[in-house]
Amino acid sequence: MRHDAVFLAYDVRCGSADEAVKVEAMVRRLGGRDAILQHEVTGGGKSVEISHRVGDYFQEILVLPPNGEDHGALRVVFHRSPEAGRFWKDLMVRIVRAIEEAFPRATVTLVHKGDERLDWSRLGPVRSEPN
Amino acid sequence: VLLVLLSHGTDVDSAIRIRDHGLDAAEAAKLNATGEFWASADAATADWFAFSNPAGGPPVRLDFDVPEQVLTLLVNQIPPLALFHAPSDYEFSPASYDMLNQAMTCKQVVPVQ
Repeated sequence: MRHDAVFLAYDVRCGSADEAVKVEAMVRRLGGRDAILQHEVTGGGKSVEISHRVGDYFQEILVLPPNGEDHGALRVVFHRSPEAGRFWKDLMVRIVRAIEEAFPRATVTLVHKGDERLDWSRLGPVRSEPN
Repeated sequence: VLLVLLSHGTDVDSAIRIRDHGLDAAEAAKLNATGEFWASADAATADWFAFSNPAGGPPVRLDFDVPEQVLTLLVNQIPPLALFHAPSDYEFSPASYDMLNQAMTCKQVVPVQ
């Protein structure tokens, strides 16, 4: 059986500082422990709405504010719960894709996956693209 | 025949194995207990699954075509052999693999950057 990483960190480089603020707000809204993500599942001739509470899959989803003077970038860290059900990765990808679709000028990069909690602010430079 | 392009995000070894030998229920069960195979009509979604693959190998997408009527048949079976997760993802049960292996065409391993 393969072992999925406990921590996955993404850097989000935004087109502007204003956009970074909006991305941060979106991630905090979608990734709060009590946030509910819903989607429709179809099979066997019927469709049902499935709800997932983020806190049932993740111990936390950290949103680190812009690094230093760089106000156009932020870091999002997904901390998977040990007992997370199989849908955890789908929820994570849905949040990442929501950022990409809502903010086409933003670029998202996976910068870390592993089992150790790191000093996320020192993981590497977070730099936004020049406007 | 209307074809649907689906993408499966994974590591390069797994993708090549599926491309060359097809889906194998016993093999899939070794990787996750219930052995489902996921694919998305949204290539960007598959890319993110590739990046987070637990095997640690180079991330790739396995892109392939499936006739829409086969997808419809698998999803509408009772019990279903596949589930459609809106807006773009399919979850194929091991019981669907024989039919899916016959239906998959134009299989390509695409590196994800």
